Amino acid sequence: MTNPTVKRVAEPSAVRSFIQRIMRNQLTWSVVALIALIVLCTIFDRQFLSLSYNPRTGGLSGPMITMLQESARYLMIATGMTLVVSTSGIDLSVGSVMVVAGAISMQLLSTGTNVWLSILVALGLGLVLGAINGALVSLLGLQPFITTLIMMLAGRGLAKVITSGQNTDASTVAGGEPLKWIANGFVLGLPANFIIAVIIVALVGLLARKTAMGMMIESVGINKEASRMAGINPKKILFLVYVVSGLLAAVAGLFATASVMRVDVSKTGQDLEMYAILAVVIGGTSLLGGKFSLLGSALGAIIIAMIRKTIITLGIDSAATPAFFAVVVIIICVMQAPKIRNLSAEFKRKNAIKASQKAAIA
Amino acid sequence: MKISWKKGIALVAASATLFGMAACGSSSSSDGDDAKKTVGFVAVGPEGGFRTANENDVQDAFKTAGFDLIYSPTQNSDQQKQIQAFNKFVNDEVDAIVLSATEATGWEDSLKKAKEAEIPVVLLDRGIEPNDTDLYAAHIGPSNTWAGEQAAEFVNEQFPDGANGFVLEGPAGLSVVNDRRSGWESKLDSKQKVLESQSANWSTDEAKTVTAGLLDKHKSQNVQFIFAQNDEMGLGAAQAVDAAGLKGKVKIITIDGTKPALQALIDGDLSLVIEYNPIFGEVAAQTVSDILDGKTVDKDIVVESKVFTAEEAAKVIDSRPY
Repeated sequence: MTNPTVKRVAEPSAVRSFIQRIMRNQLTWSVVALIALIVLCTIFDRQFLSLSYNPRTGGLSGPMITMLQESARYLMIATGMTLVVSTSGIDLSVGSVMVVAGAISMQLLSTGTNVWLSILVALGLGLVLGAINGALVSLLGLQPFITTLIMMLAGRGLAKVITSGQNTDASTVAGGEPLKWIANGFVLGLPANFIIAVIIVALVGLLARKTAMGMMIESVGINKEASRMAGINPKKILFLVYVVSGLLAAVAGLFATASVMRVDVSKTGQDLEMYAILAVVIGGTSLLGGKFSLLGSALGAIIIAMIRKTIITLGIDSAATPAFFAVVVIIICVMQAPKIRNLSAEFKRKNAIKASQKAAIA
Repeated sequence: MKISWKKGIALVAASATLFGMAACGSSSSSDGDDAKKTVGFVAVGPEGGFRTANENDVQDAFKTAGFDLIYSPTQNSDQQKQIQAFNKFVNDEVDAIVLSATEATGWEDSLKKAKEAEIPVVLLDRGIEPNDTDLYAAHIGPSNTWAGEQAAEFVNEQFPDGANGFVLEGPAGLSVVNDRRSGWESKLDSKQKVLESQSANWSTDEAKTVTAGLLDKHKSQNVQFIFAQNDEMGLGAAQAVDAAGLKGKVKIITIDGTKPALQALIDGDLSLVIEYNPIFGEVAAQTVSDILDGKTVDKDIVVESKVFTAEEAAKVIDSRPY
């Protein structure tokens, strides 16, 4: 009697363990969430996945394309944030570094500076602000939360000083085309800023995973003292991650301002540090440090852009958008919680207990 | 050594306190009629073209009128900081307070305190809700409702047979947003169909994203007008419209009248710009000095604004300071 059942269980066990492995993988749930959002949008708007060639821009156009275009800036700050978070730090200044980089580039452009020089200065300024964060955290041992919180407040102030409180507009300035192209142009039909962002994420990924850099970052996040004894220089690593975060935030700032060629000193980059942290958490990087997934954060960044797209597509009432955003993020986090992920295993275990109890009674 | 240090510090602190008290006493006793009147300005701070122009103008006008104006801006539209600044002005017993509130609600307690201290309060730009006229001396500002009405009338005029379009609003809950919406809705002909109203948070960049999304979504509906509740959003919408190849086919109406918007109007990116005139510092200074002289003033002083088409914008653009 019992033989056939045993056999039936044994055969699909390979498939089952594969499914279980997938179920346990955090990335799977990010992908599921992304697909769920896309399906939801497609239900409300049948044209959601439609793509068409737009000869005016020389690229594809459609809802998904604008979503990818917007995701580029989240990809940048989420990547920087991932590295910082995995050293058990946090960088609250990314949004402010974005507005500083945007402000200086627009201000320089509108006063007749060469566009490439403007871009370089903006990136350099992001690097410097990141280096200040890094120096304060690594050399002086200040709390990352406080250090970057101060930079967050100071950065927006700096941006206002740079433009003297105005929202500098460089859309009519001749010679700004390369910068405009970075945010609005297309390569092989895909948004240029998305391609650039993916290349940068890939480079950071290669640097982190093909060299020992990633492991060093993680070891600093787990135990600074132990990693120092193991021959790693934690100060250098800490300094480096904040510099990278500052630089990537500057790139994000260029994406955000160049998209409309106009900096909005109080709005550009506002609240984006929160989005970056959300993307990192959705991607499965622990806020306690010591473990990171750049691919996960990248997916998280795209999910953030997708949630914002969903809000527009569903026509959520503007008063309810923050609540909608929060609900979606909570659902994704709940789906990824270890307890929920192990629910099927738990269910099976209980069934097995019941079965054995029944068997015992019989 | 240590003890003497501490003593030294204590001495300095004590003398500073004494000196401070003495200074306080002298200043309040010399506060006669001839002294410069002190006016506290609870302001918003840099927020955009309108605010910067407005606050610079107010500051200049009060200085020219011979007031001692204390400028106290907040950050990131934080009302809490404004309330603190306001209460500080009441405690310092300034002669008058001008208030440019970030939010319309939540001012009752502070205004009551000022009333008890007999300090007249003049509201600039944004009013208060609920609108208890006993709590302030006067309200000066352009009318948001009027601006919304002008936008609707333009759409009615342009599309007598009706058209489809959408509205880009500011952050939900602000009285500006509500007033501009109610003006718009009150005059908009029933033939006109607003497909959707979405918030773009006053931001150019967000407006571009939102507009691109809405244009995709309502592709088949032949969108013919976009009413953006401020210039910044209108400029973003214009870029999305341009990218979609609809420039000229979609009429974009904005409110505020900043220089970049007027330029965009001349270039044909926007179709109508309704001014929200920020230059009323002189009126404000005059009103405050009238109140302090004991004259009666109007409770609600509406600052006149203009409606710009491309031709009219071309006339004023060079002399536009903001």
